[in-house]
Amino acid sequence: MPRRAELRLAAATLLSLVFMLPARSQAFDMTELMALMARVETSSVAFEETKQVAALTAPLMRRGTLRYVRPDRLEMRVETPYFERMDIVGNVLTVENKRGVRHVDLGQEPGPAAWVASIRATLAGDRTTLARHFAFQLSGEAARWSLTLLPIEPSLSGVIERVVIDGAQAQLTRIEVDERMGDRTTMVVQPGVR
Amino acid sequence: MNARRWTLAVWAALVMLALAWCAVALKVDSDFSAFLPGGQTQVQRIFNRELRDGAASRLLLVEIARDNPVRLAAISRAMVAALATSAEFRFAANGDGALRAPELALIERYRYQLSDRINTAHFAEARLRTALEERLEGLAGSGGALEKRWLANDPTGETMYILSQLVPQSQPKRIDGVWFARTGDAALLVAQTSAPGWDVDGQQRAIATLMRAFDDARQGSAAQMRFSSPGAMSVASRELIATDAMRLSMASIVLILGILLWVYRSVPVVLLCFLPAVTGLLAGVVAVGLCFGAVHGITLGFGATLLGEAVDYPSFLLTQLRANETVVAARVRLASTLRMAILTTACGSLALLFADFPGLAQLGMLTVVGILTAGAMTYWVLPLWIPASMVRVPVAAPQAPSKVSGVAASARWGIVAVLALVVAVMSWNRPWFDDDVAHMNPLPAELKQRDRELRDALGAPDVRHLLVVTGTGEQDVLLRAEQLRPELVQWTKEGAIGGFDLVSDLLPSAATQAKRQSSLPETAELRVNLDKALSGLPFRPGTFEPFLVDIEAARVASPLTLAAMSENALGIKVDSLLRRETGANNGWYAVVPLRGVSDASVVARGVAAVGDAQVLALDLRAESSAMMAAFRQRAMLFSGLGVLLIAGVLAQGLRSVTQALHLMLPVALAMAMSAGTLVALGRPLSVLHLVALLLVLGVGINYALFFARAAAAQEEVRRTLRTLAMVSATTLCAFGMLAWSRIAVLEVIGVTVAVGVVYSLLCCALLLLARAPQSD
Repeated sequence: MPRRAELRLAAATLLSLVFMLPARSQAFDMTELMALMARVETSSVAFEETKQVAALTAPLMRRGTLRYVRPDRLEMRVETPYFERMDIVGNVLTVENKRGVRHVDLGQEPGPAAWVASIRATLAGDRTTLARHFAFQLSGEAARWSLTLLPIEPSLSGVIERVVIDGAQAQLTRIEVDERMGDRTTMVVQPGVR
Repeated sequence: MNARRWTLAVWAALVMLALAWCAVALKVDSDFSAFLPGGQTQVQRIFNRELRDGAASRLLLVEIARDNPVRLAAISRAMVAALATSAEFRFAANGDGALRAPELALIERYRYQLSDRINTAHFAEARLRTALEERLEGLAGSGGALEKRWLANDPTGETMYILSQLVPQSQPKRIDGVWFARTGDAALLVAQTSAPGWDVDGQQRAIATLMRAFDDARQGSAAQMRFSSPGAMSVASRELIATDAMRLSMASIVLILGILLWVYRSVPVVLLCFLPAVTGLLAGVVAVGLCFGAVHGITLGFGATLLGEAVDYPSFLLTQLRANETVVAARVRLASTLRMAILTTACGSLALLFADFPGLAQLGMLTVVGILTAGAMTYWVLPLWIPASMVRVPVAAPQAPSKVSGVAASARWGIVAVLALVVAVMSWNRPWFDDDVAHMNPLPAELKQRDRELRDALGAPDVRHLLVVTGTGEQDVLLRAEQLRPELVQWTKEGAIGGFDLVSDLLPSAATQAKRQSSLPETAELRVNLDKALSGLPFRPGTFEPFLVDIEAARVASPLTLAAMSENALGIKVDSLLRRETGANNGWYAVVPLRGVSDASVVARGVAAVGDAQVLALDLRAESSAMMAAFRQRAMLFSGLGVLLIAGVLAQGLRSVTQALHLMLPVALAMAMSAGTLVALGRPLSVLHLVALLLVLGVGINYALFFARAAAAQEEVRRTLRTLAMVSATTLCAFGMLAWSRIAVLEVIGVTVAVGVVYSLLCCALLLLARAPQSD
């Protein structure tokens, strides 16, 4: 009897080991990432954006800051080469540049809405909103993760192929947007500004 | 009896013929615009046409509510996809990418013919340089993706410019890219039916398609749909008319039959009494069918009333029978009274017959032909068919003056005067006339209310102010429209109007297109300008080759035409703004709806300043009110004519003008008191009331005639009272039933005549019988 009990225990241990192995390599899942992000109240980072456009001989560079305030505010301030400020609070996007100030109801513009959703929802840890606009895939671990977002809506997927957001813990490090026509925008984020 | 046999044969043959014609050729329609005014002037015709088959008549407004927004948006999308491919709809939109690929492709293809910025300077070095710098900045900015789409072949951004001009500034709120009500709890969409608004069958098919699309899209959601459109209202009103006509006719026929049976206590007599009325109805329907091409459902609903009036003639005859008198003898004795009664009632329908509304004219035709037929039959044929032995009406013995006639004449005048005074006081200071065309609309209030709600939600209010540009041909109209543009822009800047839809923005005249094309540079020249403009900018060499190709193609392109736009939302829009007049004058006209007009006087002054007699500013509400006032005046004119004719018939029949006026006085008083009563009840008089009041005169004169007879011969008082009690009871039944109708036209006529009948009876009894004791 003890023998059988031991055997049973060994088998159970073995089985659980077999099932635990892949589980361990996927230890960092969407739920955990979202939980991690949800703890951040506010964050402010500097960014450097490189835009590669096929029609241009040189990439376009922009520098500025990106700021998130829970629950739904995202501000992008471009300092060079042209001043531009995009401030999203709730459902209203305010674009300010040398031509003036423009308010856009995001409900009315599904294109920008989804783009904003991708970054803001990631920062907010809002999985529901992310899932509404994107199919997602997470790889890596908490210390270094990479989230790939594929737009669902035709209005966006016709223009943007994929968005890849890299991060370390609750900090974004890089946002890459691949467009359909082969153009690519890479935003490298340097944490800890301000 | 020989005469009896051949009259029966002839009658039977005619009835069979009429029935056969009805079965083969009779068309029944329910186009409710038949009850809206017909057009006298060009403006009125245009107004009418827009109402019947203009873009607005095809617009279907849909609301989907009672689920969460995400589900509602999904249903909205699925429905638009289904409707867009359906043959019953020309387009469907819910705000989800309002302009689709075909429209964008069209604008892009014809951009150098559509854009009003095109001139020689537009492609010179300086302007190109500015445009390219703007593109560069755009590429770097947040709207980069959109910029790239048109970069290579449209560096001056003409497509984007045209789009920015076309897309309306005010649109409903959107959730998930789909239109929603302000409250956010209902998804909204609009669709345009292929069938024009008056085509009720086509509209019914469209609505069936809509319901199917909703059921398919719903997939178990608890969402509910509401919709409204002129067409949907036609469909609903057709059903309403059908059920109302049936219900009210049956009810009044049953009531009238009951009264007749109660009086005559003989089924054969009652049936014989009904024969003239039914024959008259049949003749009336055939006459309307022959004259108007089709009989309106509402006209048929009115038929029951005709029955109610026409059964009076046999009653006048039969209830006046003396002891041992044959019906033929009674007819001879009553000949002149009967003749006058029939003719005056027919004259009473004159105002209806000549009304400016095809629908009312139908009612008039039905009544005139029906009354004359029923009267003629009662007069010449019926006496031959009814043996006196069949009628067992208790014959009254000569008697003492009744209670009514016992009251002193001065007292009766006093009663009438007091009554008139009360009505006058009650109606004092209240609006007397109502010229709002909406009140003529036979649709029930609940449908109109729902329509208003959906319109508000979609920000698609009824267009009230518009300009109409008329011309000899399509190009003529387009040229005139183009000349209006600076004015329209100016009014918008001043804030007098919120915006406008000008057809030449979508379809410029051929001359303007050619002018723009001729200002496009040749490839060599453009290449030089472009190369200079590009110097120092980081664009990759060869990037703008497609631009050069497109400009060269645009230089020799054929002009954009209406035909090239068909099957496209833009073509549908142009179709609704640029119209060809139907009928003899082959003119064209453009409709320029003005949105959000805050100062109509600026528009009026501006149009006067343009000084083009072919450009008219219309305020549809003012226009329709003016139209209704004109119709009311015409109705008054015809009512006056009707009154004169009735007076003539009476004067001729009584061989005395004084006698005729004496008979008409109480009825005229009754009419005035009816009008006053309606006003006192808060129902100002419209054209409908006026024509109905003339009907009151036609009916009331009958009562006056018989009261006068009774007054002349004392022994007939009781018999006359019985006759009149019965006759007015049947008339009251018929019109009283109409008063319950949910169709405004029938309800108004019903109420007016019912009130009028009561007053007529009262005034006649009080004033005409009053003479009896004196003449003794």
